[in-house]
Amino acid sequence: MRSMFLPFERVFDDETSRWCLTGRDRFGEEFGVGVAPDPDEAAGRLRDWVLDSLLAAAGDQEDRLGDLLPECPAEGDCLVFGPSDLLPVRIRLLRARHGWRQSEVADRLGISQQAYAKLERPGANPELQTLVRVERALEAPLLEYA
Amino acid sequence: MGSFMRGREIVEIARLHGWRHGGPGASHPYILKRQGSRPVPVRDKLENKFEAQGILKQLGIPRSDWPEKLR
Repeated sequence: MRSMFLPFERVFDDETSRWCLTGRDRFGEEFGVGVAPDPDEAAGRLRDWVLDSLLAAAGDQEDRLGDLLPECPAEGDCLVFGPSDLLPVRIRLLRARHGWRQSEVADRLGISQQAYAKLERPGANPELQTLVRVERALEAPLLEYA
Repeated sequence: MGSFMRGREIVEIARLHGWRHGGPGASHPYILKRQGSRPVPVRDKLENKFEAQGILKQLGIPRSDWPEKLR
């Protein structure tokens, strides 16, 4: 099982009573922002921000997963991106590189376009058997992210 | 609580700097894209100055082009 990490800094804005989180990519550049009254909610928003960015890049055939860190730094806060976060990004990237629509991959898998679309959404948790079929359909390694 | 700033204000500023709206994401109504840059999601309602400034910085917008209330 593979996970990747995003260190972040947090400050509390007294004026609006909001926790403000800023992620950092592996180059130390700002990557994502999450603001909410509750620190856990702010972390959730930072996660959503980063996943939307990674998925959008993947849709343009651009692999940005390497912007995350392979290990959590020894000090400070860190978000963990697990298989249910990384697999949808990887699946979308592979499909985009083939230039296929979701419906075309769904046809190859013998499932509906709606069912396939769920595999490209954050939080997807397909069974191993499904992943093997998707890997074959997309003709590229996928299980290393599961 | 009302929003501090609407996301579409950010989108309009970003357009002047070569960014385009690439359609909604799973959690954001706006995903801004520019060749060679990491996509930048924007929420509909930004909650405070920190959030708006954070997005503008990641868009690479110079401070001189930020709205007065953010400087």
